[in-house]
Amino acid sequence: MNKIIAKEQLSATVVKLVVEAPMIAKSYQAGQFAIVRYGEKGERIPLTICESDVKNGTISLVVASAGKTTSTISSLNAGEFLTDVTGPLGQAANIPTSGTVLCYGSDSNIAYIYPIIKASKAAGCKVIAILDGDVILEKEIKECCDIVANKADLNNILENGGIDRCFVSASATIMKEISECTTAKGIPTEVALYAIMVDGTGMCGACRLTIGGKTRFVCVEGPLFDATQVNFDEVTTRLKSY
Amino acid sequence: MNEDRVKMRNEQWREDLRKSIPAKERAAIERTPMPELDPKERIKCYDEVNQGFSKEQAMHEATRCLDCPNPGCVKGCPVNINIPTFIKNIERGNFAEAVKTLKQTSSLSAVCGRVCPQEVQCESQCIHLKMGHKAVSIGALERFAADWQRDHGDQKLPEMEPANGIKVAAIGSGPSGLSFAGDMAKLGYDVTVFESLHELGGVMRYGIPVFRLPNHVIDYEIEGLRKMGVKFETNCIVGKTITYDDLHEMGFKGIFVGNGAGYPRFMNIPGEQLNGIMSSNEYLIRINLMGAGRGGDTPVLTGKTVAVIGGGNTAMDSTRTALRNGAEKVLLIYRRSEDEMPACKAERKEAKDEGVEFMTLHNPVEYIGDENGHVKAMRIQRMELGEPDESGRRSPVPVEGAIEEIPVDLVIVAVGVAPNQTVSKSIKNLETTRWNTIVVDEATQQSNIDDIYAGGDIVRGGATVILAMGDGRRAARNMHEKLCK
Repeated sequence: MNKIIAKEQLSATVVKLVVEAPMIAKSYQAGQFAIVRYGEKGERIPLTICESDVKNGTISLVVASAGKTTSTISSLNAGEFLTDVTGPLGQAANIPTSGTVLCYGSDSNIAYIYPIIKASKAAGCKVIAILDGDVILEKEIKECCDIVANKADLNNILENGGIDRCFVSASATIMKEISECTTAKGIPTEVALYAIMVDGTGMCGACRLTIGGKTRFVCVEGPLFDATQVNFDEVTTRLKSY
Repeated sequence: MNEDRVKMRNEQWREDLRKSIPAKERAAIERTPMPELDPKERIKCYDEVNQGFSKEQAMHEATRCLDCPNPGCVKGCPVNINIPTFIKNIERGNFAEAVKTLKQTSSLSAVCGRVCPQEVQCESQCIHLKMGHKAVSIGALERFAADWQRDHGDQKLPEMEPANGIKVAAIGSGPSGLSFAGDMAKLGYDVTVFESLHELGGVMRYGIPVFRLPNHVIDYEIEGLRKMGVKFETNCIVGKTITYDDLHEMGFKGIFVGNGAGYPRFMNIPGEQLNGIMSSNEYLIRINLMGAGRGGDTPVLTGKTVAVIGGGNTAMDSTRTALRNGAEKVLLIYRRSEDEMPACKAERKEAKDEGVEFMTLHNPVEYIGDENGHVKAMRIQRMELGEPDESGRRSPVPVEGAIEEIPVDLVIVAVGVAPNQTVSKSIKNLETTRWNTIVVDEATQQSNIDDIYAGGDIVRGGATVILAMGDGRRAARNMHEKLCK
């Protein structure tokens, strides 16, 4: 059982829950996620960890209401408990220590890109963020970012050059579109894939995708993968499984 | 151990019991069949298929045992349970003593009595077979004794050494971890079991279906360990949530790694990424662990025609689960013949009784999807048996041109599992094989790192509950020896 310490509405459908999880807070690195369960009959769902606070022993989970489980968890308030929180899962983002990093996020997926922006800045990079759609966490991102732009600026930013690395977190369609632009410029680009998961630890294989011609598990080897190796249509199709 | 067994066999009551019925008469008794639910009814629910012996049936079956002076069954048991002693105690109606005998060797009798492949272990060495009769139903008797204990009175604590304050950890709460934990707790250690999932029991919980191994059986074993002072940390992944170094910082002096082989294999054939194709792990986790289709919030796909690929017990479990999950037709597709199937005979029979259709000597080569990316058919290659391969089994060879297409709407891939590397990769310099299993000294279960022991599927790659349990107990014995030096 993990206590919810605070709750913040980030947009009409997205909430942030600050949850007690001292061990996860200590181990967490940008790019990782958690599996959460609510209720004795509840399902396990992956949620983005957008912040960790080692001193207070908390992590911040971001929930976008989409179905029964996400709506139920979104409706919980401070003082209530999540039944299970497991993590941090997946691989940490390989954060560069110099150069210019372009981070593209849209809608609730901005929650995933935010810690990468923060970590890249802290590691000594120049960070340009492009926020798109129903923007969340704008204030927090502005505080740890050199430039915040929007989608219309993408071409200009790419034309100006000087981008060394790119991270994208959005819907598969948008990730495909954006990464085609960045990789065309020769910028190494990683996309944050999402998939249906059950255990989140490599046991079920529900999250498997073809990456560079090989079957890879998003939960243990991802969520970030080289955009040029990804079959985005397959990402979209496999999400329709349930 | 051998001497003890001889001593027990020579006790007066035992000699009297042997003499009370002539061996010839005992041998003439027919093997008692396991009472089971009607196949047509049982596939409509998740109730336990095998109902277990009544007291009378157990005592009657126990009478068949000839109490051999040199019992083959004990040698056939991977952990050498003193089988004649527990069976003769059942015959004389002293069930408590039968349980005590089992407990000397096995910490999970109610589980092993249900899921051990006795036909290739203890029962395969039974003297009755040499005389052309059916073996004594040792597994059913083991289960009877363990169930009798569970149903009669409080769970008694075993004799425990005084607490020594030394902290030890088990990683994984499957059969090896639980056995290790139980033995170390008895020896006075302060034991914590770390489990990555939200429920305890490992493969016994997420893998083996409840109609073969009901949850309350596992719960009882875990409750017993809690009473002995064993602590459990669920949702804690060693290598992710905490590290090996953290365990040291927390004061653990010995660590047993029993995190199993939970990484599903796929065949890497065209179309395998289509929706409606999943690993047996996924299918069984959704239904067994998460309660999909049984009142849980977790969904699971259903299909009218379900194909299960593979020939092991997990494949059988998947076929039988599919029937209970609404399938009209369930096909088991296996590339060798039934003789080579690793699944135990009893479960093959139960699957067939329930209506599973066996398509042996067939192997899928491609899956075909509909316009929504969901599987609608599979192409299967007919096989024939060639020369024996390294496993000693005749290897399957494709019959040229013999490929057919069959319609399916759900496919469960049960072609094996590999070790989950989360723990082993997180420990620097831990020696592993090219199959990613952990290398241990077979006599002690100790790895190349002094305070790390390992056992079960993470060492063996894929074995049985009883072997995992034996590993856990051996590791406990040797870790204790090292720690009390």
